[in-house]
Amino acid sequence: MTDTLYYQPKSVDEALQIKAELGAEGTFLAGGTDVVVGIRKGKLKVARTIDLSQVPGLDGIRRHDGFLEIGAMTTHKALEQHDVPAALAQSCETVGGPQIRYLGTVGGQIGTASPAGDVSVALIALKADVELRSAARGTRRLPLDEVFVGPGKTVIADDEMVTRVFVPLGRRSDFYKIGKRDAVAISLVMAAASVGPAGDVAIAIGCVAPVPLRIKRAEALLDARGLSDEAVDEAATIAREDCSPISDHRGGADYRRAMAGTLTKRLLSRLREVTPVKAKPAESSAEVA
Amino acid sequence: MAKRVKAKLGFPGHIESVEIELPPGEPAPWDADSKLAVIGKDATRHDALAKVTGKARYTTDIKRPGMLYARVLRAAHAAAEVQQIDVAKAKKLAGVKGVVVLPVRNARFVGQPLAAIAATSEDVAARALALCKVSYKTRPFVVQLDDAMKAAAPAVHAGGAGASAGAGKSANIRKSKSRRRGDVAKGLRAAKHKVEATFRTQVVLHSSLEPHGIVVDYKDGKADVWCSTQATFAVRDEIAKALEIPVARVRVHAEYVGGGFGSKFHAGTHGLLAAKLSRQTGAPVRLCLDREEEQTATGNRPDSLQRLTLGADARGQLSAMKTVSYGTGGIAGGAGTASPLYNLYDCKSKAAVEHDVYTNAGPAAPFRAPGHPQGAFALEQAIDMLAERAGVDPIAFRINNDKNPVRQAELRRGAERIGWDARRNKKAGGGAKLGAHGELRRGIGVANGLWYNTGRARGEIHVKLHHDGMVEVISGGQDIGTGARTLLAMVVAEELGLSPSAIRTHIGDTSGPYAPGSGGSTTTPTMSPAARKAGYRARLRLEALARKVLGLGDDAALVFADGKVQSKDGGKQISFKKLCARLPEQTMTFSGPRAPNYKAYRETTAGVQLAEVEVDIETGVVRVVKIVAVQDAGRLLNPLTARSQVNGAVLQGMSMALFEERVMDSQQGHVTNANLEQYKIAGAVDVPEIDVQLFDVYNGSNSTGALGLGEPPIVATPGAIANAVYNAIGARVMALPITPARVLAALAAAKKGGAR
Repeated sequence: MTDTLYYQPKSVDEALQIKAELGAEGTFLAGGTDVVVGIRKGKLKVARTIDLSQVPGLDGIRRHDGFLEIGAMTTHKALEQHDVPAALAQSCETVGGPQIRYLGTVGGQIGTASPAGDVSVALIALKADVELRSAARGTRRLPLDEVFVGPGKTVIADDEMVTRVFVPLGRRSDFYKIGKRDAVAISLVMAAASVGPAGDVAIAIGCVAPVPLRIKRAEALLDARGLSDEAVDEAATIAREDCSPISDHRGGADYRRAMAGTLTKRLLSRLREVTPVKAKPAESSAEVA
Repeated sequence: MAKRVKAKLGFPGHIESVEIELPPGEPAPWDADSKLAVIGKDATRHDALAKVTGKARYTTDIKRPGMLYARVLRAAHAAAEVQQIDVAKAKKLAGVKGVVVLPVRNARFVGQPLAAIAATSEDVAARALALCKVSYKTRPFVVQLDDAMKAAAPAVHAGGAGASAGAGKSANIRKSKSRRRGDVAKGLRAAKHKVEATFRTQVVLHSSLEPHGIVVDYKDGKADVWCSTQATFAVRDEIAKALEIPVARVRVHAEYVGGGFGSKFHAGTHGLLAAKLSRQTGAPVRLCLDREEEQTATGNRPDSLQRLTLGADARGQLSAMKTVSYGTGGIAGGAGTASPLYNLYDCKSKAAVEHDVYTNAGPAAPFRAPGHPQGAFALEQAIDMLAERAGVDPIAFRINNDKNPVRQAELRRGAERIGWDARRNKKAGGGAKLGAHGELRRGIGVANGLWYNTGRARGEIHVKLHHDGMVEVISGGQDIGTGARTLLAMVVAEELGLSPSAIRTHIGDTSGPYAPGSGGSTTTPTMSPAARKAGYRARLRLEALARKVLGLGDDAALVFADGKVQSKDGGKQISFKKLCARLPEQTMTFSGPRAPNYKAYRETTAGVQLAEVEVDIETGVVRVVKIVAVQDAGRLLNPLTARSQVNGAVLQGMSMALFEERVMDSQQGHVTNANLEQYKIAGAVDVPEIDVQLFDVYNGSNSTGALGLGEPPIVATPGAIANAVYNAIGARVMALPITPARVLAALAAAKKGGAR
């Protein structure tokens, strides 16, 4: 492990100040499930670490103005135990094992920008927005799928941090993951989809492109034609066409491409059914800010 | 003096009276009529508490005063001439205390040891490695089986001893074993039904929880060694040789071992390096491998390419069986898979030809039933294919072609446990459409297993009686997790009428009596009779004393039970403890050398497994719902640990069937998933229901009647799962692991080609 300088700010403003000074040199440390592992393996070069664990007000879940507002430091475990949309709950349940879910955070997952990020795929399919904040320019809000530009690459500026995620309420959603085994496995391929109160559809697929991929062409088709058998089949074909998977030790590109279609069809068929997909009941309200 | 006795051998419903000639001084074997108080009843592992509380000290936990930490410098290229290993800079680093450079002229795989450095910490040793400079002249290399078999393939052992190529042939192929009986060509001509099929299996890694590790403390011409090993005495001899000292000057400790599965029979290059570093520095040296080294360089189960040809007559009787197999265990190691075909099924004409293929990858090591799960995966699918062509039920086909009464009975029990007749799809792929969208199919499959060992006349056990009634059982051998430590105490407890918990077992220390390495599932059948012999001798001594003390005649029968010794009528008795107080010595040691085997009821172990799977035909994901494992291993001494062995083997077999696969990078020549993050082993949520059906066979081959159980239960698992997948979806997956992509490809091929 190489030596790194370590900062532990006590407020969001202080954290942003430090980040503004360090720029690309500074790496935020949230749950540490990617950053610490990356440093230990020598795969991640981190010159300066900014630990966010002592910053108050960055975690918590609340309902406000038609949105679920999720603080960036909210853990997968907290989301899993909270009354959140089905796709989000299911994606959180499948991230790593319990130890990882107690540490890993939503903001951390977005910052890591892995095309295999289960929660990112679910959030994109729920049409979530992300709030970014900097000391110099204050906050800005943009759709999550516009944040990712490549593996580990985002539009987040060197002086910005992820502060909140906004998930529109009232969308029925579902999530499906194929891992190499059933737990503590990075996805081989996974997907999520949702239908809004007005019938608008959103679909996102993971591990089939350099970024968590939103299938906008299929969404447009379904918005125009509804969830008929033919439209769903066509959407699946589009999903296969629009992805660009690679082969690695987890699986082959051909299989991933095929599954982009299969999972799209499976999720849409499920969402078409009248019964609303049930979210998990809230187990505690402690996380509600 | 040899003595003849009659023993009731076999299994319930098939008990035979067999005359056995006992070697001199041996007790009569426990048979079907023996009434036993301890044996055959669940006994908790004596070391369970120490293990779960973390009190058990494994090699990796050993700390010695002034201990140095060593790391291994490893080759960065898959094939290269090593021109120079420059360690000058590393030697100058503060904290570096010793360097040993191996005389390696040719590197043949990425990760091959070149040198080792001992330093005051792991960190310093790692930094010193980075300062070493190795000059290579790289050569073409080959890491995949198919590439290595091509005529133009780079010769893996070029520049050294190894295969030499004939014209137009790969230098990497070595015919390793060829067995035949009868006339296969004639048998095939006579066949009404034939199957010709090619199967493949992958390279699997042992992945023991405790990686290989050693601590060597060499001082004044003597060495204390702590080693994670399954062969304490082999390690002793190898270290003695490396240090050029007599074996009696080396003491190897292996009280606890975190798994071996066949990979830990030797001190290993790292072990010899640690010994030399200890001698060089005069300090204890610890050299424990990390996970990447473990998954790269310490052994593997070779892959395989198997071409099988089977023939059967119109009634479904096998007329010919043939396999030609190839496999690579890297730079060394046997890759044969033909034994299941050669040893299972009664068929007059058989041919089994095996080839090892060299590749530039780490050497193979024996792995839980070497060659057998791979061979049975191919054979048992081919048998099912042939049975289907002959129109015979797979279980009926197996029973018709295999006279072994144990396996026949096991197949019947397995069929009953899984609901074979009622629940198996009569037509493959023709089952109910399950799941929310009709995407799931269930299926049931069967596979046979086999194993051979009845133990050997090697090693001995000591039983020590102390005047306070304490009994100690001592072996210099090891318990690699099978529960051997507990079994030895149970056997002596049975003989002396004590509770196993009243006996203390000392194991894993070569200052104790010799024991062979734990391989071939021989530890229990080799060591338990030796323990019984030692316990029996102690008992004879105590009987003589008891007769005198109790005033009984020289021939009076005595009963040892519940910590007491009493006359047969119960009229006279003395506690075991008080009797020991009357021994003429403070401590008396009784030696139990392992006698040659008696006449066995059967020389081999059977074992069958049935699997139920659920397959998602849209995603190709296979879930194993249930495994019924019917397993014999002679007389089962401790059913609790026997079930553990079967559970573990089934899980390892299932993991091999569905998940595990070492992946080599063809361009760079290294293992791409030399870790447990990307080399996936089945986890807790993947575990199916496992119905372990222990099947006692009173064997009579030795005084306890026990056979080994470590290896047999993994043999049938992948084949049973593969046959269940076929029954579920009507398409065969001919390669391991059975990945979702392979399932979908098989479905697509079956659709294209019509029903098979």
